[in-house]
Amino acid sequence: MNIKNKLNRYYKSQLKQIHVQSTFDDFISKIQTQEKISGRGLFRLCFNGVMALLLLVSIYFYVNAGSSSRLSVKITKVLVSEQVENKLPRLNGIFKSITKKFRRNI
Amino acid sequence: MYDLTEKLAVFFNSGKTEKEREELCRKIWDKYHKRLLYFIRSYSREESEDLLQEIFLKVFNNLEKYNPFYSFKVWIYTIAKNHCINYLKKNRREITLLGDASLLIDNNRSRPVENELIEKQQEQQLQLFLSQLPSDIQTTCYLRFSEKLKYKHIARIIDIPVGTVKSRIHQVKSDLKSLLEEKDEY
Repeated sequence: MNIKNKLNRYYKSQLKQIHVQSTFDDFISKIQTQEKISGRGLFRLCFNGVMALLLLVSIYFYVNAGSSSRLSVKITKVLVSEQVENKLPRLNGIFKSITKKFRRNI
Repeated sequence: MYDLTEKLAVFFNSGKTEKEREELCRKIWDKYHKRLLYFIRSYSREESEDLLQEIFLKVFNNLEKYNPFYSFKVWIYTIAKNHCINYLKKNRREITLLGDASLLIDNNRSRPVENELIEKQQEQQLQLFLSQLPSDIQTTCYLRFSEKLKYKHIARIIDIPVGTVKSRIHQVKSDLKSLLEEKDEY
């Protein structure tokens, strides 16, 4: 028997001895499980997306709330200044009466 | 009953239903799982079964990309080899040797027939000889003598020149011949 045949026979006997633990059906079920896991991953991705969207919405409301509070500050400032301006003629009158009294005393 | 090549031709020439696809995948699994496992063991013995499943997954997912003009055997072995090399690069593991002399001795203790013993002795010699070879030469020998692939196909799978394949095979043959002749003299 030549070397080529000897090697051929050797490899044949080696292949006969090989035992694969998992069958084709095991392999398919494993793939299906992996697909389910990847499906769960997709769900998690969607969940994270929704959470991120909620975060963005809350940031938007927070920023808007900040701007409205700033607006309210502006409004109160205006109102106060208006009130001061309204009170100015009265203050002016008081000031005039004081100066009149002062002149009389002199 | 179709053989695998005809099945593949049918697969590429007609509509592919889920059942047809599964049947084809089963056929490929049945034909190649042992051969590929033996081939993978030259790269990693411990994770060989996991690697086998990953390779089959790759093969089944890329069946549409296979060109039936070329040999399916070459295509599948190329995928297996590339996957194993990538795995080794990622894990930085050393390549284990293809032959395992202890495995053969343990598996064949229960056969006391004289002729068989002589044959097994020769097998052990071969195994010892092959296990001492570098893994790329072992792979070359396996593809040549077990899969009976042409030199150019082996060169394509292992990604080496055809001349290197020829010289490796020649070297192994001559070394083995001289080894066996030595044993016969004793």
